[in-house]
Amino acid sequence: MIGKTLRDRDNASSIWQQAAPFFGLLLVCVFFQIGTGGKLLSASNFKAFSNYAFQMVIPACGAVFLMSQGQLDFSMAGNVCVCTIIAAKASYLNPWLAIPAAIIVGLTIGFLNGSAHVFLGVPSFVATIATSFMYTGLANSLLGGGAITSDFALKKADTLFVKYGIIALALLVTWAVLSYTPFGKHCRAIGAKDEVAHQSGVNVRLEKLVAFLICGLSCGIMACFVLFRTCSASTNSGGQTQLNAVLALLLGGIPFSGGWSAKFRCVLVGSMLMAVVTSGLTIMNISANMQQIVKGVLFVIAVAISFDRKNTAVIK
Amino acid sequence: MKNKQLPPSILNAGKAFLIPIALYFVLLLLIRERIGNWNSIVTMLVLSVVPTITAYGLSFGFVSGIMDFSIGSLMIIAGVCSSLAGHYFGLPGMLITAIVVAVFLELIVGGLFALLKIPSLVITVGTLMVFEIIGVRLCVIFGELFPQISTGQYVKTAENLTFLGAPPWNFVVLILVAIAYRIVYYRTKFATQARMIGSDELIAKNIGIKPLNVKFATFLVGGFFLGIAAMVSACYSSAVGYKRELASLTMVFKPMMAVIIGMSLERFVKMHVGIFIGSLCISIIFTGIIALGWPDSLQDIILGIFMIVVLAFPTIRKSIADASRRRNARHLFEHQQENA
Amino acid sequence: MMKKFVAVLLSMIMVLGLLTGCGNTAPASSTPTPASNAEPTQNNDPAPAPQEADTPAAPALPEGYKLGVIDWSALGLPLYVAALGMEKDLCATTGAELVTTTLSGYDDAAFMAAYEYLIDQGCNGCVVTTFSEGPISLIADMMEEAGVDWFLANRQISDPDLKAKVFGMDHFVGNCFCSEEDNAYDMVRQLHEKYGVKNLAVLGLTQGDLNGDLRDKGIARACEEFGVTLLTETRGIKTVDDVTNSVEGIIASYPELDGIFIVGGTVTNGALAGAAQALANHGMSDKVSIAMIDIAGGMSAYMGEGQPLKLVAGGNTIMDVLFATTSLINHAMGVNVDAEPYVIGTHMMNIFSIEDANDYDEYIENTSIPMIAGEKWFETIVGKTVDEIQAFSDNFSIAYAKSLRG
Repeated sequence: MIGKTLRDRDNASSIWQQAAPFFGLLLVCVFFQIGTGGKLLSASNFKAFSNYAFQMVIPACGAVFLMSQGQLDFSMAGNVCVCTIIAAKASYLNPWLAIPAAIIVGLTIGFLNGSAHVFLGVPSFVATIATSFMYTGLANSLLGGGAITSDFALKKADTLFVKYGIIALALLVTWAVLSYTPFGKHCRAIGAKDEVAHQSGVNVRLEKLVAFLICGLSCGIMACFVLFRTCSASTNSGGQTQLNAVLALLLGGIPFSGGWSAKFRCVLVGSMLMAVVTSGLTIMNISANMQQIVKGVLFVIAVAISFDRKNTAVIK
Repeated sequence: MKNKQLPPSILNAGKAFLIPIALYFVLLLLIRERIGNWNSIVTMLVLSVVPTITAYGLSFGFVSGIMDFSIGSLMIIAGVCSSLAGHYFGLPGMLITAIVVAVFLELIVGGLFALLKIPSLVITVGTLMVFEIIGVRLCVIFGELFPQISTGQYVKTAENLTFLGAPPWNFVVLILVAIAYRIVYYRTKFATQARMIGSDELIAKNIGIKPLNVKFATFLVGGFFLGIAAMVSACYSSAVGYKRELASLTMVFKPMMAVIIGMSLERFVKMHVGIFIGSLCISIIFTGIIALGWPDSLQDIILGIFMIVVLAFPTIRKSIADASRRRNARHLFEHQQENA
Repeated sequence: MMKKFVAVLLSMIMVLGLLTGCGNTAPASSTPTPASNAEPTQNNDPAPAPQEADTPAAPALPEGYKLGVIDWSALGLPLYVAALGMEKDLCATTGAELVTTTLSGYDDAAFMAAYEYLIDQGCNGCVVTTFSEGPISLIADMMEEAGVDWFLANRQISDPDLKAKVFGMDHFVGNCFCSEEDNAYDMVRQLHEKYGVKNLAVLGLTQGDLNGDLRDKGIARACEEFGVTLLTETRGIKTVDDVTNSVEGIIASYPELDGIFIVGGTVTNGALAGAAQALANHGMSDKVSIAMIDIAGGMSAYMGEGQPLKLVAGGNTIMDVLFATTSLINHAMGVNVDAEPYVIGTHMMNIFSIEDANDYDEYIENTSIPMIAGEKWFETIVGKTVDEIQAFSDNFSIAYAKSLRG
């Protein structure tokens, strides 16, 4: 009887944790649709909403593998900035050279981040904050006296077809890799307990490195998007990429420490949620300051709801 | 006749202080004409005062495993409020306001941590984002209410109180705070329990320590030192301005590095001395960068590399020790084989 | 089971969204501007008609004309609060509707999003400004496509191809800017000639800002011409304590320092406090002369006997706002429409003394009383030709601003 009650309580709690992101998405859609006077889901807002969706989905697709391992990458904005600058410079050789340039640089930076964590044993959050300083300094050095514009031919790629095509491809690949490949399973196993994963034969160091590489790749793709949209690169390019990615995933229900509850739906639901929130706040003319408060509060609430306290012996 | 040796504590302190001295001499070799003067040395010491006091505040949570990234935004709010209070209530008002505000804000952070039971990184980054905007709004509101004191972007410190930010008074404050820190860190049950939790929380829990309570207390005690750091910083700069867009995150890293260096040097010197040495090393490096005429972008890169090196040092040291142990074992085995 | 649950939820979301959005025709600018420090404005309130008793028949603004601007007042600087106050007064006097937006970030994408928003709100004219030159071409295309008149404020286009493109556009009304390079040159010249500065340190904006880069050129030119040694440059200053640390380090490493040039940005005021304190800590307030460019409010506390601040140049932001908004209003009224896109040169107000600083605060950056208000708009620049507006700009001074108050 007691066992049954306890099981029911566990099931209810588990269902709540899984359903909360959907309720959240429903709630914010309704709230902002009313708050913006119907503009949020209107045709005139579709293009702007697409931009926000892109900004949330791509970094979230990259960061989900890291977060499912219980890692964080706080250098994504710096990564995007450096990629944008180098890609802008490459575009003058050939406009479309910007794309491989951005991706290669993104991967390289992902590798550096991964190396700092995997080989030097520095906790991922602190390591990536340290590397974010380095990338900021590198971006300043590369610009060497002025923001730069890329070749304007890249503007041709700033179409809804391209954006949604890339979003669809990214979501498809993320879903397939996270849900059906050994790598995806290993990532979640590492998040659950990396020592157990190691004992089970998972090459933990390699998997972590690959996760950082994927994150770097998503930053490279984001850099391409920034260039398509603005045709320029400056030290401000990249904005708050990492914060958007982490928040999107947390709001989507990914556990902060990673593990088996890291599912693909966290990417989809969370990204949409963040896109709705950001779009709604912008339409409502909420200032950057207030948006920062909203994001800070959401960050804490999202983790408070989804954090698995029962299975975490030590909360640091 | 017995050889007179220096007491071990002095020898160890000498070893620890060798690090900043060595750093200084390296710079002296490179740019003697720029930093080979007493003014430079004093400046390096002055630049290490505020980060040292901040590191004292950060260290209690750090040794128990807490990462508090909100200290920057918290110090800004405490600095803004205390600067204003200083104009009307003088030094006592400034000091009390700084401490009260800092402790109150840490009460919120610590309370959220104890209540929600989620990682400190999440709580402190979330509160950092909120506190930053509170700092912005306070500056703007003070700018409207007290236009002679605040411009809307920053709040000026009362001119007669800025002496606390300059030598010799800033050093006096540092020494007093260091003594207080030493007493709290080594003579109180709370700090001992914090260190035990940092060492192994499960064992600490099993012997009756309540980790959440102790961690909550680390926020409050840390807040006391952070309030003093905020006040000294306000006096040093003669104004306190707001930061936005997570820029206050950068205020954590120099103190954090100082704490890590202090922890690494604990076998040589006490924490309060080790933290000061760490802070001094950082200020020597950055003064050197300015003196060398290197661009600022390089400062950021060097800060990042320095952080990685400091944080990776235990791993590197362990790898070297492991390799050395394996080599010794192999030699012993080979030697035994030969003898056999 | 879970899948069905999710499917039902998603369907509910879509249905609810449709229901709440159906048939909603809320007015475009009905939302207030929460970022503004002033009382919440009702952007869609009909503005009072301008008085016509004593003035000659002024050209009329089309009914429902909307003027779009970015609201910078959330940064807290009196400069931006004063600028917003002037924009509001101009719109109230001429019958335009002011539509404001705030930036969601400070990168180029945020600027573009802001102008997209203003276009979506149905603005007829927009004041455009950006940190870098990159997005200007794209914003120009956006405005042209939407048929929105626009005026580029506070930025000089350095790329000749971009300039040719922008100036050839139908909806581009004009450009106003201050010659940043000449200003910076002139300030270094004055530091050298009046205050004997020979060894200069520069504290500046992060590289990448258009104006900052032009100022750097001016500084470099002046240093070369007058034999001033540029000891060191510190960029990307964010707050007061960053500046104090930097200046302390500079003083320690360069004892020959006798001049500091704080180049500008929204943090410039705090930079001055930090620099002045660092000099005071080392007893060098008399030895080092500080010049500052960009933010000019609240300077009286830092000037005078024994203080290091000798020269401040600023206020051009207010002038840019003034001319950008008026040019758009004039254009909408049919004034100057035959003119090619025009350039109005502005200049900075030079502040040399406490009296200048007090007058500047009272008459130019007053956050309660706009510099130009009511009928003065029509007496000065509204409805005037380009040459008259340029003459107004050339002759503008702090003393003139004082006289406008009457």
